[in-house]
Parts: sequence; C-alpha cells; structure tokens
Amino acid sequence: MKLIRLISTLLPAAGLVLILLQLVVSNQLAGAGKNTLSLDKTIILLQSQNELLRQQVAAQTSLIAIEVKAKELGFATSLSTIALPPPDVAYNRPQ
Amino acid sequence: MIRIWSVFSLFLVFFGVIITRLFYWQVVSAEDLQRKAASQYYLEFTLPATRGDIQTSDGKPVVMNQPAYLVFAEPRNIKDVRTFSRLVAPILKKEPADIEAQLTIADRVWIPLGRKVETAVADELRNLKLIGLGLEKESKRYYPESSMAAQLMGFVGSDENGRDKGYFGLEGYYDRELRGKDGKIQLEKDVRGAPILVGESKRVEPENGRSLVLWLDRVIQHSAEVRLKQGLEKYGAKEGTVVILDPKTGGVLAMASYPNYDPSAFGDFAKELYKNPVVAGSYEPGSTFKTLVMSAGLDEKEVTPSTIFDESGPVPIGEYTIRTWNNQYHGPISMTKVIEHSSNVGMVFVGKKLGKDRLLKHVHQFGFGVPTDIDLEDEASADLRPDKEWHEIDLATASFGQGIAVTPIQMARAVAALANDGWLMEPRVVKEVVDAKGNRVTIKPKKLKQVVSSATAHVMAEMLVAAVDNGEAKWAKPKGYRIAGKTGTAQIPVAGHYDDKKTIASFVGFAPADDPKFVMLVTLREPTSSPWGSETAAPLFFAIAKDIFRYWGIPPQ
Repeated sequence: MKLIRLISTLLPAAGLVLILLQLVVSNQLAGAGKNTLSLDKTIILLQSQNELLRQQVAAQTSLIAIEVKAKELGFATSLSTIALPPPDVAYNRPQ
Repeated sequence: MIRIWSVFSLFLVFFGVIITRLFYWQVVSAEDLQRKAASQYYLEFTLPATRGDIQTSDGKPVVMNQPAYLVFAEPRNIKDVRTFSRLVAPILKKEPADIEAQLTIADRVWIPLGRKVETAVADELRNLKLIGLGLEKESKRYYPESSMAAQLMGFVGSDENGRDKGYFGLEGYYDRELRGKDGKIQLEKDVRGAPILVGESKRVEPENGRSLVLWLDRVIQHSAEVRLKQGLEKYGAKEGTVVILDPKTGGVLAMASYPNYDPSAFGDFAKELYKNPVVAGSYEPGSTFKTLVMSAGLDEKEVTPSTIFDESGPVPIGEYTIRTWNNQYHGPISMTKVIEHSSNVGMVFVGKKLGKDRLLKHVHQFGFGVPTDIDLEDEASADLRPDKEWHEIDLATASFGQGIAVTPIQMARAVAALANDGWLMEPRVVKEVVDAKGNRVTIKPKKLKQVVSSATAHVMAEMLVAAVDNGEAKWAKPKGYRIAGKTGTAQIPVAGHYDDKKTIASFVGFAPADDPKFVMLVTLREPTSSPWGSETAAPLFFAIAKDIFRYWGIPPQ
C-alpha cells in the first residue's frame, strides 16, 4: 500500500521533471542552429582549402614543374648509358 | 416575404463568394502557397558532388578539381549600380557598361556575372565587401600536367541546363561515373535564417564521382609527346601520332598526337582538334601492314621464312603494274628478305598464295573494319569494302597496305597480337575505378581471340627483328637491343588518285623482341624532310624506345 502510494507520488513528479527537461533541451537546441550553421560553413571552408592545397601539391609535383626545377638545379639529360654485363661470380643469395 | 427572400439571397451570394475564394486559395493556389511557405520556413541547399579525378598509373592526378565560384549579383540589394559595376568589372575582366546593362534589366532578382571563377579572383571580389554580390562554390577542372594527353582526356563543358558534362575521350566516355550525384539538405529555419535542430530536416548525402586510374605512364607519355613534337619540327610533318600499348594486357601506356589543344581553354581551339586521331583518324598503313599479311601466310602454312620468291621485276595485275618502292629487284629472295627489303611484289606473291578468302579472313580476325571498343568516346572505324567487292588488284594492293584504311589503334593492337603469342587483346585506357570511399574495382584485361598461333607470332617476331637489323632503318636502331619492327610509307589518296609527294610515314614495332614490354606505332603525316618512314618515323620510334629502355632499366640483350 505504501509502495503504491510512493509510486503514485513519484511518477507524476518524474513526468513533470522530464517535461521540464525536454523544454530546456529543446530550447537550447532550437538556439544552437546558428552554431551548427557556423560549423557547417567552417567545414565547407576547410574542404575548399584542402582542395586548393591538393591542387598546389599536384602542380608542384607535376612533370612540367620537376623539369623546370631540374633545369634550374643544373640537371642535364644523359646522352648515353652504359650497361654493365653480369659479373663472373656466383652470388649466394638468401632465399 | 420579399424582404426575407432578398436578405437570404444576399447571404447566399456572400457565402458563395467566400466559398469560391476559399476554393481558390486552398485548391487552385495550394501548391504555389506551400512552396512560398516552404521558402519562408525551410532552408534548402544543394550539397554538390565532386567530380572524380583521372590519375596515371603512378597515382598522380592528370585531371583533378580546383575550387571555383559562381559570381552572382542581386540587383534589388544594390544601391549604386554604377559604382558596383565599376568595382567588379576589372576583376572579372569585363566592361563596366556590360555589367551595368545586365543589372538594370527590369524584374531580375539574380544575375550570374561569372562562372568557374578561380579562388584568387573570388578572394579579390570578397574583399570588396559589396552588398548584393554573392559567391557560390562550384568546381572547375585543373590539369597539373597542362595539355598532356589532351585528346585522350577530353574536356568538361556544360550541357543544355548549364550542368558540367564531359565531352570526348575519357571525360565523355566515363561522364556518368565521374559526375556523381548532388545531395541536398532541407532544414526548418528560424526568423534569422538559422536552422532549427529539433525541427523537420531532410538530408540526402551527395555521391561524389568515381576516380579513374589509368594504364597511362606519365613519364612515357611525356617522352612520347616531347619526342613527337621534336619529330614534327625536325621532319616538317603536318601531324603525328604515337600510341604505346602493353601487349600482354592491352593497356594504353601512352597516346600522343599533335597538333593538340589545351583542355582548360578548349573553346579557344578549333573543334577539329577535339577528336583523337589515334582512335578516330583513318589512314592507309602502307608497308607496316605487311607484318600482318606475312603472318597470315605463315599461319596458313603457305609460306615459311625461307620460302623463295623470284623478285625479278614488276608484277602485272590486270591493267596495273605493281613495282617495288625503289624499283630495285633482287632476284630469288626469302620471305625474311621480302620483309627486310619491304618488297611489294614479294607481298603480292604472299597475297596470291593466301587467296582472297583467307587474306580477308585474317584481315577481319586482326580486328580491322570494326571499332576496337577502347574506352574512349570518339572511336570510329574505317569500313572495309564488303568481301564480294574485292577484286584482284585490291587484294594485291592490300597485301602491301594500300587501298585499305585503318586507325592507329587498330594497327597497334593487331601488331601487339604478334607480341602476345598471337592473342588479340581489347585495348583499355582505364585500369581501375575508385569510388569516393576508396573502394577499387579493377577492370581485368580482356583477351579476345588468338588470331595466329604462338609459333607464327614468334617466327614473325624474328623476321621483324631481321627487318630492323638489316632494313632501311638499321642506322637509327639503338645498339645492342633486339627490336622487332617494320617501316611504312603510304601515299595519301587525293581526289581518286595517289599523290606521290604526300605520304604517311610510319613505324610499328615492339621490344624487347624476346619478351615484349611495349608495342609502339608512330605515324607522321606529310613529312617534308623526307617522305620515307625509315628516315622519319623510324628514328622517332627508336628515340622514344631508348627513353623507355632507360626509364624501365631494360639492358641491351
């Protein structure tokens, strides 16, 4: 009997608390949309910056850029190659 | 009574009007009003899909995206149109009067001022802090290797709705895979325009386009393009192509043609340049075709490398006379010597031995007359005349590669079969397709059919090695390497007859002959320094081959 009375008192109180909690949380979330928008914009900006950096990396590592850089550093096209014949020794190569 | 009826009628009319009006607002205008209401309390924006990259076999992008912007104006928010136009025009490289004219058109709420504007320009516009000027992000293609393999790649233009669409080459063929699918977000918004997180929301994620990984080797492509350009200048040729295949897989290691165009500014170039001559341009192959006719003769066991033919003089065919290219005749010679001397009369002998049916059977088997089904948008194949329309003279001329039209990719693929134990492969540009999550789908090489036996292919390879070592182009051959190849010099047909001054010089071959790693075809149209393939296309072939040997560390054999 006492238990039933306790439950019948606590249940409405719990319900009231939950309703109040939902009101508070919903109110906070409703106002948090502005932050979300700001975060979304930041994500888009960072993605855009990543895309730009990726483009710059590709430009710097392109064959055209490497060719120009190589010429500046004094590299020259080799005009001849020497092919070494296989040596006359037997190697003990590990398996 | 009359008064009561009058008042009643008045009420009827009054309610009739109200009901009609209600019907109009709730039924007739319902959709329109719902849309207007949604625009007031729903925030909707598109999540654009990113177009996929195109990468070479080493994973480096040869076509990718760069951030760009659509610049627009909202005339209703612009107070001083003249000042606005004066500030914006120089940055967008337009005339202020043109922008002012657009902004003063009545009832326009949104006007695009520039598309695919790059980040640096967009930043300049942003710094102006002009009210009524907006920027919307969009993507633009970027080519880190500039115009490398332009005709192979194709370009991205707009369709009739202004959306990005690929044209020609890979961009055209794989447009659906590369494009992806835009997503969207729809959120309830508050009076300040910020989203309400506990409100209704719908989100459809974008499906970013898939990327393509090619068989193309960036270094070999670069070498082919540089050497081809040098060759065009040195030999005074109008146009040229180089195609390099992996004979074992059919993969395209390089595909170059000149003149070409810049895909980032395709509108500045003639439309004729958009088509890829390697897959869409036909030509008469000349003596390079002898490799295939001879291999047919070997395969049908009508000739062997040591079969003797008496090259005593010109051969009459009906009212025509077939001569050698230099009008020199060597008496009794073997089939190997027929190839070394590139003897037209010797090849007519082989053609006669085969007969029409077997010669044409092999021509069809090698894949001529039909597209190769390479994964490029603009492939076209020259038609072969129907079998029953082939006369004796046609068979004779076809046996040395005149009177028959082929594309470079058909020719390269056919010779590649000789470097692949007689197996014809389907040529492919794309090796793998990678989705936005990194999942890879490998496109397996496709073996089509065995066009000659493995033994025939090896015997023919040896004959071609002898042709390189002892033929007209032996002076240009890299020392110590076994290269199988054949020169070609075909006259160009002009208005029903052959122009004896204009030729297509070519060289086709593969190396190393004992274990071929690449097959290459070089063509030069109308070289002026010399009309002969042995003096133009052959040295160009060997120059590129030397680059490949050095790059791949292939020692002399």
